[in-house]
Amino acid sequence: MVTLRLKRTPDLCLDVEGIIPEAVQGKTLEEIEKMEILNGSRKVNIGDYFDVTDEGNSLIFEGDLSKVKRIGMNLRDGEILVKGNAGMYVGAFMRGGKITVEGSVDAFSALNMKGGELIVRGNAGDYLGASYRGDWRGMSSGKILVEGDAGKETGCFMCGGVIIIRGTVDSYCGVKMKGGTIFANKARTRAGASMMAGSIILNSTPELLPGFFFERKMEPEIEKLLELEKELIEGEYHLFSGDHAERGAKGKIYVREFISF
Amino acid sequence: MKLILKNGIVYDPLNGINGERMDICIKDGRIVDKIWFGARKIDVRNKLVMPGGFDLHSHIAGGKENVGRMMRPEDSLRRFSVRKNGLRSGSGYSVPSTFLTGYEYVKMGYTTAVTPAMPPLYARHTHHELNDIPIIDKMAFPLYDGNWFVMKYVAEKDIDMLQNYVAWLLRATKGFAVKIVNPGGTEAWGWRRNVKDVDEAVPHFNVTSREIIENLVKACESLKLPHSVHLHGNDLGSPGNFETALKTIDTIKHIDAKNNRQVLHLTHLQFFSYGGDSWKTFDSRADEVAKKVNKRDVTIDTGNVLFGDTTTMTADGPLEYSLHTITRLKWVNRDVELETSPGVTPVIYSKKSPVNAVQWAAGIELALLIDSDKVILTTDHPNGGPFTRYPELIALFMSKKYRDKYSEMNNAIERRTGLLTIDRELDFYEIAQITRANPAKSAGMEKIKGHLGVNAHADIAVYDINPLEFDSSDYEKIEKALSTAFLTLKDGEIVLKEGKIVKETPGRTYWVNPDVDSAIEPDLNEYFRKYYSVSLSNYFVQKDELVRGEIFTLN
Ligand SMILES: [Zn+2]
Repeated sequence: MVTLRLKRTPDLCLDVEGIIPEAVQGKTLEEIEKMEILNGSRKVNIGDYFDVTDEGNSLIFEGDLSKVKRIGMNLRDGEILVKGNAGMYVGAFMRGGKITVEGSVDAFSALNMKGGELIVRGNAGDYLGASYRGDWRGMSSGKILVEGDAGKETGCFMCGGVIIIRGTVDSYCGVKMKGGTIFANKARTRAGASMMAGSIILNSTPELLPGFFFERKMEPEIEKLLELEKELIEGEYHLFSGDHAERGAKGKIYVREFISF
Repeated sequence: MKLILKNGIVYDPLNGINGERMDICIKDGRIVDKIWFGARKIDVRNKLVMPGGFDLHSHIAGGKENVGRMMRPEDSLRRFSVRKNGLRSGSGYSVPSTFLTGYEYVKMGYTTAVTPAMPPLYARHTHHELNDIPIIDKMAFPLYDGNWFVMKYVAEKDIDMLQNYVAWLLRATKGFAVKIVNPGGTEAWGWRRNVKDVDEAVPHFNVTSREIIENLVKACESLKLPHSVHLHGNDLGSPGNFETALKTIDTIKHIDAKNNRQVLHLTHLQFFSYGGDSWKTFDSRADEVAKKVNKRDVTIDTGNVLFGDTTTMTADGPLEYSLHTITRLKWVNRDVELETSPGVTPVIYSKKSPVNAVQWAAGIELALLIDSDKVILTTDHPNGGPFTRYPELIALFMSKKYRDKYSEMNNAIERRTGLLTIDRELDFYEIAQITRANPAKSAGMEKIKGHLGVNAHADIAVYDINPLEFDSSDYEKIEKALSTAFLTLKDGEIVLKEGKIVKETPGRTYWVNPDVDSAIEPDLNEYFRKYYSVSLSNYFVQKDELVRGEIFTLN
């Protein structure tokens, strides 16, 4: 469909909110070059910063886009491919469609996600799949897969959907979560702090907070996730309930082993 | 500047004008009888013309308002506007920022608003925020409810000193009227208790809520303040609290009105109109409360609830805490030293909840059952819903069809309220009363605000709807027309034209400046030295801190 190849790294961040498949569909390359984006607070045209070609079969961003924000924000449908790193807010508020990032993404990616799929081949920054600041109604559906590591407060206030981190997730993953599932191969401390419901599966973590009570040893019983991550989720896990620092909490954390790292 | 608005259909209840086609003449910011030559003319043929709206109770500036903004960044996602055409940017749906607050009021044709609960210690903050709210005129009511000076003088039955302190605090805070919230209750809250009834004593102070109310009303009357005591009573929001409300209204039955206005204003009365003894038996007793109001010399504002997500903020700390224990959403409490203890927590009024449906209906019942010269429209912004939703409320008051349609969503409205049995629909005259004339009169400002007679401030709203061809079943049209004014004039200048703000002016902040006897000074010195975290000299808000402060007197 369309490839947007970054000409040079901008001094101030570019903000490409609204540049999604449905917006570029049916436009000529010249029309796309004239579409407005923001550089800092200044309005510029896509053509000022991107070479626009009709290569590829989806909307493709190419180059080192670590200073390009809001790629695929509010996506409802269609596909976006990012060949390189992306900045903050990738796929924020997305409801459908699919975003694949070959590099890494910065903070607030898939913020308040309501549906669709985000795949990150590299690492993700803080607040991946978290709720918007202040909101107690976070990610409600959809799927996030990160092949590398993810930052702090991943899935904060999550209510539904799936987040998979094949590498290491930083502290406070699933903080305040009320539903949905998070899997991480390794997790730093304080997973599931103040969680009310939902499940977190960790192959290893140094320790859990004192609000988690050991229940029994078992295999995690989340079928959908097992299908997705057969190789990584294997064997018996220690099931904990919590976080009992909260009244009426019904969260579950499965931990295969406790190791410091 | 001279201007004539020609051929509008005018509703001006304070001058008895009910839908007459007439011209309004404006000169130098005031309304005049006639202009012979040199005036600009604007034809507003077949459009609705009313005085600018007057909001007597809307939490738009101050300590807890700002706490609301800080604790709800997600609220800013729902409403924001960028800087353009010389206007400032702003954000916030239930807790809008200062500039946006001014613009949104003007957009609805409102030109005056009161922030009704200013903790005295936060007076400086409040005034600096009010300075930043453009165009509209403003006032702030300082809180006297859990105040140690007040309770001390009431306990000592020293009415002169009480009056002296009331006057001193109005001057110190540049306040306009006496506000009382949950009298005694916020002091009790410091001991994890509350005051649920007018005759319950406040811990460690030998006074009851009734004594606080009565004595402050007397002080207010003898000081001849423009507005009466503005009261948020005890036991807000609880099942069965209507009995407390009835007793509260009766606290003033032996006090005669001397100042050509009510002796007590009861605010957001909807929240005090509940029957039942638990959330399961919760129902509306708005009819009984309305009957009592109609008998006594009081004015009220409704405090309507509208369905949706909003932020609650009151100086009633225990109430906010109990709300938080129900919703378990985020919550902030502030302890303001010797004065009060406000709280803030978000709330979602749900159509599915029988309790919320009863609250929704009870507020509308009050508006329909109370004499139309006593009622004032509010949502206790943002507690029942943001002020930007007044047009929806007006449409509900004006259209039985609209109410019936709403009522289908929850059968609690039929089973637990009397709303469906009321056929009354307010007309534009009555709407002008409850949004213009009554609040101006209740605040003692009826000479300059809330009407279109000679010498009134030329604060005028023109709406693109012909009231003479009005059909109450077309409620969407009413709502739409009142949401965005065709013209808003402030002090005779066009500030909004066809829905767009065209001029930004600084609004006034009115305050009162009653005489103070120096006998108060020893007590002030002692209490500030012993108990306050600030010194007396830093407490007093200076005149020049108000960008456009104006002292208001009854004469
Ligand atoms: Zn209020």
